[in-house]
Amino acid sequence: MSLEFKKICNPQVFERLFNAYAQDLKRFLFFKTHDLDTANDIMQETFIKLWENCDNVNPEKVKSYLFTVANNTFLNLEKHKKVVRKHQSEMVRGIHNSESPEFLMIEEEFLKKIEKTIKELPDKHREVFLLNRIEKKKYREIATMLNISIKTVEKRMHLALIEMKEKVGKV
Amino acid sequence: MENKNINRGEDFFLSDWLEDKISDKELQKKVTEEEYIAYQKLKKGIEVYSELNSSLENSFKEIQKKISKKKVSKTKVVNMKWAISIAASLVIVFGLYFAFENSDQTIATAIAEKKSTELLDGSEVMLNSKSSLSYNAKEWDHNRLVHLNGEAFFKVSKGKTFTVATDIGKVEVLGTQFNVNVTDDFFEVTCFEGSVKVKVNGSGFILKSGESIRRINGNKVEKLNTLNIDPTWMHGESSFKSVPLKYVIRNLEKQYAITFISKDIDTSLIFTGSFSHSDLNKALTTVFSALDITFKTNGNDVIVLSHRK
Repeated sequence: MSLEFKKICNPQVFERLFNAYAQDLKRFLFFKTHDLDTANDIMQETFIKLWENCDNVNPEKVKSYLFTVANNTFLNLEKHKKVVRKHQSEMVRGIHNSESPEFLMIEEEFLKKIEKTIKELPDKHREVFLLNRIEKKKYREIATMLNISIKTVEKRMHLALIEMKEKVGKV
Repeated sequence: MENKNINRGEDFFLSDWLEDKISDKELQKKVTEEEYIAYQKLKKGIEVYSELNSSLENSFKEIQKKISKKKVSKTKVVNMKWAISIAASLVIVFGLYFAFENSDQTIATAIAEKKSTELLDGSEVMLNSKSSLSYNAKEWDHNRLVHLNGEAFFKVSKGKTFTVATDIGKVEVLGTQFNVNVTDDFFEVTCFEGSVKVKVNGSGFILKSGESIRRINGNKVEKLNTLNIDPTWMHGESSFKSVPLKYVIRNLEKQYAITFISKDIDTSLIFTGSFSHSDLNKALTTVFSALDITFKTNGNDVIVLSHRK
């Protein structure tokens, strides 16, 4: 195999690597940061670093490079946050510890339960659910696509949520 | 856990709530406090799920933007290179145009031979061993159509539809890079850049970069993915992903001037791996030792295969 073929500095290779690892990296970062935007930011930063160092990174070790850089960026961010937090009042911290739904944490275990439950939904419910939540289609669009009424779409979503809540269990 | 008012007639309040058509407060009135918290957490979990599974296309565009801002000077150099290569290919295009006007063109390769050629519009074709490609130079301006038998990698210049016709399927593109392999009952198309439209067995498929489609021996069409940026055969190696041995043997015969006697072995065994085009012995060992098959040279470049006892 020629070297050209594996060079990270080749824009096409770089895009392939992004497609291969970006999603896993973002997921990894989400469970560290518990924040989707921060996870996305660090993921992007990590790939930019890979591009800037594309001549020096061993193509065989791209994956471990990406996860190491991402983890370091996260740790540095935490260090910075700790400093900031020291200067904040007890009151602010109090709010973050509250039981209010906005501060419910999504742990990896919980997400895995959701993924499993989605797989187990009846086909018709899952189809509507994924079109709405992953493909971001409106109920009206789904109704047209599947040639069913909007009420039916709403009913399937409603039932899907009930089933998921039952299976995912208590908080 | 009790379910209060879970489904009152036609009131699907949960789907309304998920789309923000009713507020949290309204939901709170319809379910118990315990259920309310459970649904809130579920909603948040679903949001995370959908966010972690959605397309990252926009993210990649943002990265590209940030990179291009940082590297303006580098881009300029690349553009200059492009300009030179475009100018160079123009010279060749005109040259070819005057040389081959009014004629049917055929380019063919022998066993173990590879050839690269440029078409009238500057599109590049690299032909693998024992393959042939033909087109009508006269019709080229209205119809970019080539006929292929064997395997070829195409780098098509932007322009009108470019069609690769084969006995099994048809491939249509506008301007992109892809590989087509058609030999008897084996048909495979891999897209390496842009997108490619494939018509096979009466259905149409759109392939994006990194995707490939394959049909073997009239079986159903399979979809595969690749991380490579061009076909491995261009780098002196043939690769296979779950391909019946029969086709691997045929490929060996194209790269080396040899004939196999395979009546004693099961040629439907599945092979995944690759072999080199430059070292016959190494190639034979890589392919056959994994399948527990032995090979014996029988003079005159004939190789007899048998299962190991």
